[in-house]
Amino acid sequence: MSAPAQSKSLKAIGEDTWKNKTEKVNAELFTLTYGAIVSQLCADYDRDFQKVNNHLFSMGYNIGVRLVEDFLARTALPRCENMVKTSEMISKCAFKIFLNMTPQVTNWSSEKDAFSLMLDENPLSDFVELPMDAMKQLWYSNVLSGVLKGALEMVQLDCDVWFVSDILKGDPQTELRIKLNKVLKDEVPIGED
Amino acid sequence: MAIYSFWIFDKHCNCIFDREWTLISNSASGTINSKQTEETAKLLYGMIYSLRSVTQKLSRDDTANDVRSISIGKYRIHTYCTASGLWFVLLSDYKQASYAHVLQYIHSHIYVKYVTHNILSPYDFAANENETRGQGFRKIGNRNFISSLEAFLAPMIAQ
Amino acid sequence: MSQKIILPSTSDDGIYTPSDGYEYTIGPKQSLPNEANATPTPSRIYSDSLMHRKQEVSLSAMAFLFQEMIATIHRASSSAQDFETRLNGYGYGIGTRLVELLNLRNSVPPNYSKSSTSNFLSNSSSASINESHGSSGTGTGTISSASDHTHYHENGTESLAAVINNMRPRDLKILDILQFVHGTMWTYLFGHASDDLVKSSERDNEYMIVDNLPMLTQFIPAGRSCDYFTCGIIQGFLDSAEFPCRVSAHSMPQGELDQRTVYLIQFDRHVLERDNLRFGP
Repeated sequence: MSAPAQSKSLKAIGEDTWKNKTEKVNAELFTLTYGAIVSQLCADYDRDFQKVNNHLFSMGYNIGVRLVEDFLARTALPRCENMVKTSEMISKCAFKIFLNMTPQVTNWSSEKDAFSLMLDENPLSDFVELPMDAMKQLWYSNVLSGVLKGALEMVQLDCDVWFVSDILKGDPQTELRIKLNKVLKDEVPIGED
Repeated sequence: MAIYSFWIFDKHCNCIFDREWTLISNSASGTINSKQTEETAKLLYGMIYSLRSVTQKLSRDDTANDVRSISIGKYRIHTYCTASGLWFVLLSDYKQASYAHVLQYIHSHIYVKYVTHNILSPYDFAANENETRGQGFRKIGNRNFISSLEAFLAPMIAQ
Repeated sequence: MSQKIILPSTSDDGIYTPSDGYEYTIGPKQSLPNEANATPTPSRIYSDSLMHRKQEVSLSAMAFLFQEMIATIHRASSSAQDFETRLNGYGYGIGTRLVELLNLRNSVPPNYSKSSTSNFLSNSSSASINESHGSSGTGTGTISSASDHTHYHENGTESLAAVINNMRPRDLKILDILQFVHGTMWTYLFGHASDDLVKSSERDNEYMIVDNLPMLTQFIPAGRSCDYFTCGIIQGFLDSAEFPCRVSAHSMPQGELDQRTVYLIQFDRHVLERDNLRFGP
C-alpha cells in the first residue's frame, strides 16, 4: 500500500512481491493445464503446428494485455526509460512475480533495442517431451511470446517477440528474443493537439 | 476526511467510471453514469491532462514526474496514474494530504480483481477507433466492481 | 519369476537393444547441440525425478491461463452443454495422470524428509485412508529391492521410487477413494482439502464434494460452467481408478459464500454393486 520505493532494486521488489504479496499455486497444476491446452490445440488443428504456434501466441497476447495491469497494480512501478531497464523489469520482476523464475538477460543488439531472455527453467514445459513431428515446428511455450508482446504494447512499447531456440526441440538452451520496434505515443484527447 | 467524487479514465482519454456523492443531497447512494457528469469528466480530464503536459515539459527528463494532487479553492484533486495509462482520480476536502494509498488500493484490489481478472469484462473500453481520444462512452458496469468499490469508499464519503 | 517391479525413472541396461528411435529403457543420453536436428533428442522425462519439489507459480498466472483456455473453448463451442463437455475433457486428461502420481508420492514414508522434499500431504485431512486397508496385499504390491537401485538420477535429483519402502495400496472402497479426492488430490491441486464431502441422502450412488471458493473460477462471476474443468479432473481420476462416474458442478451459495460450489459425483450402478459385494452393504 505504500508508494513505490524507487530506491529498492528491481530484484528486491520482485522478490519481495513474490514472497509477500503473491498468492501461489502448485506449479504442476499450471504445467498440466498448459499441457492440456497445447495437446488439444494440436488435435484441433490436425497437427498443423504453425497454426498451433499462432494460436498460442494470440492466447498469450490476450493474457499479456491484462496481466500487465495486475503486474503494475502489484508493483506500482512507473514506465521504463529505456530497454535496458525494461529487460530488467521483465526478468527480475515480471517473471519472478508470475512464474517464480529469473531468466538471464543477454545477447544485446548494438543499438540496445533487442535482447534475449534465457529460460533455464520453464514451468510451462516441465516433464514435456515433444513427439517427432512436433519437434520440427512447434514452439511449445509460444504463449510466452504473446504474453510479452501484449504486455509491452500496453505500456506503449511496440515489440516483436519470438523464440529463437528451445530445449524441447533439441537446442542446447531456450532463448526468447525481444526487439523494440518503436515507442508508441500516448493518446491525445480531441482538440488538444 | 471526506471525499466528494471518484473517477477512472483510461488510456483513450475516456472516463470509464464515475461516482459522485455530492450531487444529490442527503443520499449516500449517489449516481452512476449520469448525463450531467459527462461534462464535468471532460473538464476534469482536460485540467489534469494540461497540467501534466506542463509539468512534463518543465522537468528535465520524463520519468516519474506525475501530478499527484491539485489543490483548488474548495477541494483537492488526487490523481494516481498507472504505467498502462489508467488514471484514478479522487476529489476530497483538505483534511488528508494524500490519498495515494487509497487509489493504489482501488487499482490493485478492486480494479484488477473485478475488471482485469474478469474475462467477461473488457480490458479496453474503446470498442473501435471512433471511441478513442476522449470520444468513448462505455463504462465499467460490473456489479461486483461497483459494490466492492462502494463498500470501500463508503466510510470516507462526506456526511 | 521373482517379483520384479519396473521402477519409474530408473533404467535397466540389461534390455538395451540399439534402435533408430528413442530407446526408452536407456533414459537420457548426451548429444551435441548441432547433432540434435538429425537425431531424436534424448528424453528428459526419465531422468527427472517425480519427487514433489513444491514449485509454485502465482495464482495470477494460473488464473490468466485458465481464463484464456476458457475463452478458447468458449469460441469453439456451439452450446453451453458443448462447452462443458469440452472443458471437462481438458480436465479429464489431468485427472487420469494423478491416480498413479499421487499414490506414488503418498507412499513416501512420512518420516522421510529432505529439504528437497515437501510433505505436501502431511496436512491433508484423510488420515483414515491408510488404516482402512492395512496390509491386505490388494494394492500395487511392495517394492522390496528399492535399495539396490540408484537413489539419484544423472542430474542429481533424487529418485522417488528409491525412498519408497511400501507402496500404498490402491483405494478400493468408494469412501476411501472419495477421501483421497477430497483430501490428497484437492490439497495437491488447490493447496487445501475440500470443504466438505457429503453422501446424498436421496440417491445412494451420489456423493458431493464442496468447495467454498473454487480457486480457478473465483474471478469469473457467471454460473458454474467453468468449474467443469475440475469436474473433468475428478472424473478422470475416478474413472481411471476404476470408479466410473459422472461429475457435474452446481452453485450452492451459503451465507457469505456466494461462490460455494458442489461437485456432484454419480457413480455407475455397478460400482455400488461391487462395493456391496466386497465390503457388504
